[in-house]
Amino acid sequence: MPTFEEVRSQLFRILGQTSFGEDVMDVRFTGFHYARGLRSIDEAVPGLAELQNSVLELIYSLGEKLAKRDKEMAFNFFMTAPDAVNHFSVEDLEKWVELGLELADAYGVVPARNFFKGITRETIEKIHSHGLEFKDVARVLEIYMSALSGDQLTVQEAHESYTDTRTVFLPHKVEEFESDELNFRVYKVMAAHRYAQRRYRSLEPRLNLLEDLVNELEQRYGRSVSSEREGLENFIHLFPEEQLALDIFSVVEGARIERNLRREFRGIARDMDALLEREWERRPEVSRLSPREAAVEALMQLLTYGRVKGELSGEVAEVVSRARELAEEMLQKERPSVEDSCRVTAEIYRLVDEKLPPGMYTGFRNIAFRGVIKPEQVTAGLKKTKKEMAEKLESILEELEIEKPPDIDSMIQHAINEVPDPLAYGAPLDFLFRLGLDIPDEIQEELLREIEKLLGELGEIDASMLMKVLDSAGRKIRANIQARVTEFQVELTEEDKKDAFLYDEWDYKVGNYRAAWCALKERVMPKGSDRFVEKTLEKHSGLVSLIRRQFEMMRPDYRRLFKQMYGEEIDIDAFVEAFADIKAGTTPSDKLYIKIDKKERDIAVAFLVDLSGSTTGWVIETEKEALVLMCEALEVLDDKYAIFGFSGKTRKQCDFYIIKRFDEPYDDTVKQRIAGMDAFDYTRMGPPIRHVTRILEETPAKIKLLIVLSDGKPEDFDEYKGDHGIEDTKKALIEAKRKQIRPFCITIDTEARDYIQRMFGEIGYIILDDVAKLPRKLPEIYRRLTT
Amino acid sequence: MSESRTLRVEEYVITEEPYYEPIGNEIEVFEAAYRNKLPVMLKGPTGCGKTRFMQYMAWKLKRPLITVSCHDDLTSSDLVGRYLVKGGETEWVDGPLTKAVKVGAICYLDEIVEARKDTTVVIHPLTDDRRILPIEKRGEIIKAPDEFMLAISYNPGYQSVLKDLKHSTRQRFISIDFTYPPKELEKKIVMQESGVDEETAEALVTLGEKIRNLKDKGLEEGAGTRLLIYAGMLIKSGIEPVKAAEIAMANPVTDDADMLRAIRELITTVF
Repeated sequence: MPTFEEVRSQLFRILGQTSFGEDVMDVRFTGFHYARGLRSIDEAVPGLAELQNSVLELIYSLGEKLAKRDKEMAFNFFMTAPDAVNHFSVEDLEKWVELGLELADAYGVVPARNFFKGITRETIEKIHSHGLEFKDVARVLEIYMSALSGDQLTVQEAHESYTDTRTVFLPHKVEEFESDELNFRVYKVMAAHRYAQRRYRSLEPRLNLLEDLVNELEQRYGRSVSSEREGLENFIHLFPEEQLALDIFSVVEGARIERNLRREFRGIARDMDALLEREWERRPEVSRLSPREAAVEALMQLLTYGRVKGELSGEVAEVVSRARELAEEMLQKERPSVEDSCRVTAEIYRLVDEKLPPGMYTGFRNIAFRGVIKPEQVTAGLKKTKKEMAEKLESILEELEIEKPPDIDSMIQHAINEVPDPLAYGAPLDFLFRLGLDIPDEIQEELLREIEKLLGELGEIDASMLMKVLDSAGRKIRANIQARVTEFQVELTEEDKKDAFLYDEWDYKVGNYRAAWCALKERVMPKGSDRFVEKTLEKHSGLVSLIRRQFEMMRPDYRRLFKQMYGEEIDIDAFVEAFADIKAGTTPSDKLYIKIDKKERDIAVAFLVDLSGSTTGWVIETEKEALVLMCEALEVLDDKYAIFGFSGKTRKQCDFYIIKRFDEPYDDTVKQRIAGMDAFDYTRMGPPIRHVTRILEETPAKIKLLIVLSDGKPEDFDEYKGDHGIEDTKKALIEAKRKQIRPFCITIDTEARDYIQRMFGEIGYIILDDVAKLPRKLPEIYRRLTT
Repeated sequence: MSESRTLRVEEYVITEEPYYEPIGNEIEVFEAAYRNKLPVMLKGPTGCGKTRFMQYMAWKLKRPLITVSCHDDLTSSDLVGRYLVKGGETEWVDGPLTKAVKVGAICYLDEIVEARKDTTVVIHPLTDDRRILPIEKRGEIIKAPDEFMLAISYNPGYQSVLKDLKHSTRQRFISIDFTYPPKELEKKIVMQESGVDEETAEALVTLGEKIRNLKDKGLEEGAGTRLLIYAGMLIKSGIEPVKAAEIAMANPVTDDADMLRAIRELITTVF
């Protein structure tokens, strides 16, 4: 056991002070002003000194972790730790600390300090509870869904599992099973099932194909469809007992898509079976339910398990047996559609409604992994998709200079309704044609290929897919058509030219440079908070050490260069060759040595960051974080690096911000300048690229890299947009390449593919779909670029 | 056991028709290039059939095929040839490129970007209308016969600025783009090459497609057709499908733990 003194000195080492506490409000009455509720670290020592050395080591390391965040929190932890050891195992102790840190992250240090003051029953329950949380598997599920749906669906957490056709919502936590492995399976089956709802178009019945049924239902129940609602919500709304109708639909439709899913993805069928088996135990006995509830439950049980739990009364049994017949007849069809499910739903509803007394219908709980169907969410999702579609179409029409039709929304709806066969190959092109878009032959084939791929992933044509089709058609059409460029000329004044670097600008229409067209001025980036870098490093602490380790591995190893003029060793191969050459009477090479060389890396890299107005907020902050991580990584290597930013407004004012010059060390000044980076005006890319080229030219290095971080097209307030901006940037990059500089662009503009390839070439860029990935990706990309 | 045979490279003539399914008009393009004596660059991701295509074309054009896999210590003597000493005598030994030129073979430089840049320059005179190979050491110039053809392969997916093809090299070739075959075709290829039944092939292709969706989202390159075939072969020899797909299609494409986990979940979704 450790001595009192040992413990005390350890605590002092970790905490760096001897007393803690906050002001006590009523000091006036106590008369002891100086006491102020202060507590000494000595109070924590006796309890800790009782502990085993091995446990104590763990406590110290956990305390150290906490102290980095907040000293007082760590002190409270040390006070409570002896008690905690009695309650918790080693893993639980770690979990306890994690919980406290999470609390501090979410609500600040004060509640976290209190958290460590004692152990409450709530804390114990929280620590001992099992179950798999969404956040622990979010990334895996996200990748899984992205692969499955070809990037069409994303995942997000919610109270229950459903989809609005755009996002798949999954519960915060799954605690069906003891083991996380099995709990994960629940998540997986849920995700796959939601994907199946999209793939088999479960949520988008087309009422125009059900016209007769809709009329019939309108007459029978006196309710009507409205354009406010999308197909599914409209359909359900036609029934007076909406909940009953939705439940019947989810049972019938569930059976349909599961049959498809099982056929196409054999593996998931296995997982579903395992979950279904477990669920059987929990299904209610039908005899205990009200007639209508019993009917829905029994139908579900029959369609899923082929048997029923409990006895059905005569009336209900009759209804259920007829309902089952109807559903199975539909499922026997070659390729039953969601519209078929709707018809069956209506028939079963009528049976139940006419034959069974209303009684209590409190609703029906489907098998857990089937989640719920939320018609109003589906409507919202589809409306959003259609709105995006309308915007997209408008912008395409605008660019094509085609007059916008008066009612674009109903035109889109009409075009969607008219897509003849949801599985047909040419259907999407037909859709575009109905939108008034004439697809030029040369891009038709390419477009069709893209569509075919989409069809492979999503099965049937639905709104989101048509959206994608429209999207890529738009991009292709746009790339195919020359944008208009309006002339915009302002003379440079003497004032503009003062202290400025003047650069030419390429005018692609004339095929020549406009001499000394742009005035670029260097500015030193104003300093920002000195805490930014620290905070970033804290936030990404795990990542930082990983990146450092990876970059350490890039440090040049000793490398043997063969066939050298000079060197430490004789190159036997070269020598033999030379000997043979002498024998043969030809002039032998005198490169006979192996040189051991470690100066293989001689790289200078300039980062050029787009500081245009569009980067305001989240984008620029993330870019700054990424730069901090990049600097940390580069400090490990000997690569020379510089960071510049650019923005500006017209050719008169191209601002070039200096954050770190090549010859400046990565010190507090630079760190503060990174913190100070902000979004300014427009993106005139040509002049800053030419300026960096000039700087790189003066920097000696074997390999010179220019990495541009961008968030969109080159675009300025004046005529610098469209093809003009792209062509000038492209020219500036060609000039750079001529000077042996290799440009590379990282962009977060997911629409960038067409123009970025024109500027940076086929392999000179990467598109990040999510700016949040930049801090992780930037060093990774750099590593890949230079190894 | 089948016996190994030793052939001289220039005698390596493919007599049996290699299995190859064209994706587009690459066969016609290659033939036209051959007739017009143009060098060809095959561009495309790993495992999509570039090498097999070369074998097929060599068979079709009835020329020997000499393949050189390029690496970063490949010197120009390795390509052109060198003097060797044998029992006190010196002897000139042709390199594979020289042999190919002499016998009018098809010379295929695989993964050309891996070679040192000074090495690739020796092919330049062969690629323009001169079609000659200078052999400096012997003071000779070999003029290539009409039958000689040069082809290189290049995978643009690497994205390392240190390993890009020089423009002066690149622009000497006409380029044929290779991509993964469309679904039905790929299924047929997997069945033919690995011998699995249609259902298994379909599952493998679906899986491949799903994994390829992850390119640019953390995967540098998707699973090529070759990996699908490997997985099929393993299944055919009795390895359990999930295990086979894991070995052949998940582990080779990534080391990222989450990514691996997600791919494994895809495998158990499909199989």
